[in-house]
Amino acid sequence: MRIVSRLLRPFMFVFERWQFRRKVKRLQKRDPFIY
Amino acid sequence: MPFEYFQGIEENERAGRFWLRGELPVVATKTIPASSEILWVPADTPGRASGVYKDVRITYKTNAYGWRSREIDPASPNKKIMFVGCSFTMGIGLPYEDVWTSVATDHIEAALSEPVEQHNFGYGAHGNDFFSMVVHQVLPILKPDLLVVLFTDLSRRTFFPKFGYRLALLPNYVPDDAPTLHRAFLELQSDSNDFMDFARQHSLIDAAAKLNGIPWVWQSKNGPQDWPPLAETAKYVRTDNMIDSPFPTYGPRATDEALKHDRARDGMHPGPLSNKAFGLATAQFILSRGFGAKEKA
Repeated sequence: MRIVSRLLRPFMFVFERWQFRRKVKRLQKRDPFIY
Repeated sequence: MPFEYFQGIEENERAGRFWLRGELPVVATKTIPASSEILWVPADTPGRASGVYKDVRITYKTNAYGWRSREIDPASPNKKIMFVGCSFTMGIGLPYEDVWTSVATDHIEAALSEPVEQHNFGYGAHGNDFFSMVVHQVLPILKPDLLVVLFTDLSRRTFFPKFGYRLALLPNYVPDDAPTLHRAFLELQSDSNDFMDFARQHSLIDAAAKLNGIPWVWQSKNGPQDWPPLAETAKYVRTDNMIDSPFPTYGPRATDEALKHDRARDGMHPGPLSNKAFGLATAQFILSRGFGAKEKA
């Protein structure tokens, strides 16, 4: 199990970054204002 | 906790007076100073001017505390309505008389046949936590006859980087001097946390209004899409005082052809048609709740 999670770790980083970017895009669409 | 953590706290009394009991918060900045008349603000600049107000001279007249509002006169015998909200309430890109708050006040004034004062505590870029602070501080001093709150996007937050100074955090604006802080704000955001914050700020406003014996009504700039279904929302916040029609959808998502092009001078904020519609709906809701009826009878 530990080996599997270690192998997956770099991909988790990529996945989390993708998730974060998706969240930010959605937020910026919801509130596009700068003021 | 050692006192040195709070060194410079007196600066808050001089600069911002945020959360200070018995004081009005000061929002004046270098770009929007107090007691002045300015023609442009950071969001509404000559380069962006377009639409029906393209060549209209819009004046942003601020009071002694930096709000786009009249001065406070506690001795005034007139009825007072206090409005709290974001740039929609401040009226970015709109002449003051076309902002929904002015439309609502004028309509109520005409219906009651007596002078009604508009006290506009709308301020751009800020979130619901800022609004509850404003209500908490201003309500006991101004003692209005009615409070109207137009909540904004639930993700916005106010951050106090040092005593006396505030930093508005919102998804699309990255402050030049605080990009890491903005990134942290985005990392921390979650829809659940946003809703809990909304419930917190809404409840604080409700408590402050009850404590001061002032009726209040509310709506949100995006309307029902900001919250869970009403039955669910009602389990968390008071909904019997919710203005029955939301701020009209304008821009590309609008179904009405006229509202598709209804923009303020900055090309982003709502224009005169949606402001008029919401102002009238607000006034009618307020009047239907018996505002001013007691004295008349």
